Amino acid sequence: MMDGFDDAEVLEIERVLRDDHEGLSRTAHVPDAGLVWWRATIRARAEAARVAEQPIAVAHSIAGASVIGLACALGALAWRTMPELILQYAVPLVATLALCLLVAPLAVVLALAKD
Amino acid sequence: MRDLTVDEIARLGVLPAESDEPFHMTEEAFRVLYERTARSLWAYLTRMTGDARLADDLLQETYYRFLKSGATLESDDHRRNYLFRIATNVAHDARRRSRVDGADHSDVRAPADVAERAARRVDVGRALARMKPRDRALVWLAYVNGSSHKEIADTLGLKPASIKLMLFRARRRLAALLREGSR
Repeated sequence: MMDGFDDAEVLEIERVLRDDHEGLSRTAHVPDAGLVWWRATIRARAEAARVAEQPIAVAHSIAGASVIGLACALGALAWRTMPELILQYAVPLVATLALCLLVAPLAVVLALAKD
Repeated sequence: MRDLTVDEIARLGVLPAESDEPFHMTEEAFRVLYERTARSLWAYLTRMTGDARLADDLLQETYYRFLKSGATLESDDHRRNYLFRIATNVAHDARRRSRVDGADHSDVRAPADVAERAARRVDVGRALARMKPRDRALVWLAYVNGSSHKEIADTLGLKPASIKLMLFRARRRLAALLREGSR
C-alpha cells in the first residue's frame, strides 16, 4: 500500500510526464496519414515484388545449370561415339561454341531489357 | 454527430480477399487510427530514443510493421497497445543499431517558442535519457498512457507480477533524476 509520500511522488511524476507528453504532442510535426499510408503501400509492394521474384530467379538458375549440364553431357556422348568426326570439325565447332558464349549474355540482356 | 470508431470503419471497409491492397486495413480506417495515435506515439518514440528526428523515421516504421502484421484486434485500445508494443521493439532495434554504428542520438530537440516549458521538457528528456530504456518505457506507459500492469507487461514482454516493483523503482529513479536536474 502506498503511503502519503509515495502518493505525492506518483502524482508529481504523472504531472511532469503528462506535461512533457502534452508539450511534445503539441509541437510534433507528424507526417500526414495519407503520406504514411502511401509510403507503407509502396514499400509493401516492393517487398512483395522482391519475394515474388525469388522463385523466378531460382528457376532461371536451375534452367541455366540444366542447359550447361545437358550440353556437357551431349558433348561427352559425341566425343565417345564419333571422336574422329569431332576432330575433323574441331575448328568450326570451337568457333561456334565461342560465338555462343559471346552471344548468349547479349541475348539475355536484350530479353530482360524487353521485359 | 459522433466520430466513427476504428472498429466501425474497419467493418465498413473490409477489403475483399482478391483485392490487390497490400494491407488488411482500409486507408480510411488507417487514417482514423493514425489521427488518434500518431502524436502520442511520436512523443513516446522521441522519449525512448532521445532523438526527435529519429522518432520521425521510427514512426513510419512502426505503422508499417503494424499494417504488415495484419493483426485483427477487437478494440481501439488493443490496437493502441499493439502499436506501442511495436514502437517499443522499433526503438529497441534502433538503439541496438546505433550502438553498432556508434551514432549518438542523445540530443533532445526542443522548440524555442515558450522558453520555460521547453526548458522543463528538456529536463524531463534528459532525466529520461539517463534511465534504462526499460524503465523509461515503464514510467511512460504507466503515467502517460495510463496502461494497466498487464498491458505494460504485454507491451514490454515482461511478467505482470514483476511490473509493480519495477515501476516503483523506475519512478523513484526518475524522481531522483528530476530533483537532481532542478538543483
